[in-house]
Amino acid sequence: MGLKHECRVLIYQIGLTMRRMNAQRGFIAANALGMVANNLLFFITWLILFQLVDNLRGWHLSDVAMMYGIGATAYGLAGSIFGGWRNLADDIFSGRFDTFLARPASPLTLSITSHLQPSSLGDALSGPVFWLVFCHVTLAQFLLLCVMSFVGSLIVVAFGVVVYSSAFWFRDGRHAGEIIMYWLISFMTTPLHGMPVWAKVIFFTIIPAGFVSYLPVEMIRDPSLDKLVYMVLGAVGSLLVARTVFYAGLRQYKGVSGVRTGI
Amino acid sequence: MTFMSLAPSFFFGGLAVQAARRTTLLLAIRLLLYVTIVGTWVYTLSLMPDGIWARLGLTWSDFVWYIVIAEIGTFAGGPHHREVEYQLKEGHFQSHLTRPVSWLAIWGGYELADAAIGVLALILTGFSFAYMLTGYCPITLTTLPLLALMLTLAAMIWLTIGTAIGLSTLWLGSPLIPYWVAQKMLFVLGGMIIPLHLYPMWLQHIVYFTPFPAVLAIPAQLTMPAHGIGMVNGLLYQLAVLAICLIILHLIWRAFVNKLVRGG
Repeated sequence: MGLKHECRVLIYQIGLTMRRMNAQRGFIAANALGMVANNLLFFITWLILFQLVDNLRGWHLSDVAMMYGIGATAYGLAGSIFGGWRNLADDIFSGRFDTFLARPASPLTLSITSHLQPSSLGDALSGPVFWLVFCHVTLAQFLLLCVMSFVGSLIVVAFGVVVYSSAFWFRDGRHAGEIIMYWLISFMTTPLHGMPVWAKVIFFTIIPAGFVSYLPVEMIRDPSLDKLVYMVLGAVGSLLVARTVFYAGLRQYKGVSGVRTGI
Repeated sequence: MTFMSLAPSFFFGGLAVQAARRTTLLLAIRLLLYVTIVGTWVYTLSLMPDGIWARLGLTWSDFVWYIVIAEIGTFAGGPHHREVEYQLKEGHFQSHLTRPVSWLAIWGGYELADAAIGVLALILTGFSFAYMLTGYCPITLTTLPLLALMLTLAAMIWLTIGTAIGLSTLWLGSPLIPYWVAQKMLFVLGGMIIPLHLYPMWLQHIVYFTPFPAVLAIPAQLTMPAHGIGMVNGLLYQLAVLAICLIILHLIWRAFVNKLVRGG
């Protein structure tokens, strides 16, 4: 099965997701609105904080709002287009994953596009709200933010696949995965610019939150092609790592499945 | 019977042992998350300009201790709403309705034991973390039991709210939206990061009409005795909030059982 075939499957699966969204319009809209309200409500803490101080070592409210928006949109796109990664550990544990193995396409493509997270659409929509209300971005900046959020979403998906693939090896992979994903979310919504170098190294390698939200904000503050290239390289690297870890886990899956079924 | 049986059920050794077994892994996860969240906020506050602390009449260390204690209220219990939703969707309630002890009593006892273990572990972890960062501890041996009591009350209030939200699954199909909204209101109106006396005056007037400060700010105010509403007032406020929350939960529970019995 070549790359062309996988791309076709991917597009078909995304189309299927869109149709699923359409079939549950009311439910998804309610969840999406709930998530937008959730994100905006939490941002009130930052509004109160910025009433006390003008800036956090050079970052103003608009920068933090931009970071929040990018983080939310990247996470939202990752959950609405490729939402299956969040169910990967459950699928492995319950045996539902077996159904992906019997189909004529990559199990990675099938598994990441198998589920839709209804609330993710709300996350995806939160970003533009933050950018327009708090950041007063230009049209060019808005489009650039959309592109960078999409690239960021690929990094989130890749990271999610890596952490939830731990279920191939560990029984508690789901819990561990949730913790590690929460770390990613925490660091995606924390201003990283004052961090020491060793911490920044971690946020651009082990937990790639820096690529998802910090670098895009710096890109808008001080545009340069280098930063965009770094981001794209970060996404490509993350996807390659995810693919490698997933297939390494898949090779283990037969053994795990055998133990579970008592074979 | 429901509320009366809550207290003795808390002491049921079997329940406590079960809770301890179940919580070993979940507790470890909670502690990791707790340290991560507290750590990121403490770091964020370290980015504030130096002159701000004198203007606020506080120190960075005061903020560290405030956040460490405020966060315990939310982390002491697990995701109650999800557990209730799971039990409802798996049909556990139907089998409980035929038993002589109310589900609410068993649930309350079980989760309270869980929360008590959580509070203890979080105090140990949080205090170690904050002491490592600040080099002092504002909680004396005489105020420690009061803090433990306030944190347990905070956990009970959040458990009551979480259970009510979980029961709403029967009407809404999913507890997620009300949970998100309640959780974020808790963070903002409860004073999770910023002590309530630093909020705009109009907001300070509103927050105490909600249950949220009883979960976060009231126990955390013990680190800043010069600010806040005082120990006795704080304790009375928590008890009043808990009583109101329990009454509301009881009403929701009755409606829940009625709907379940009639509609299945």
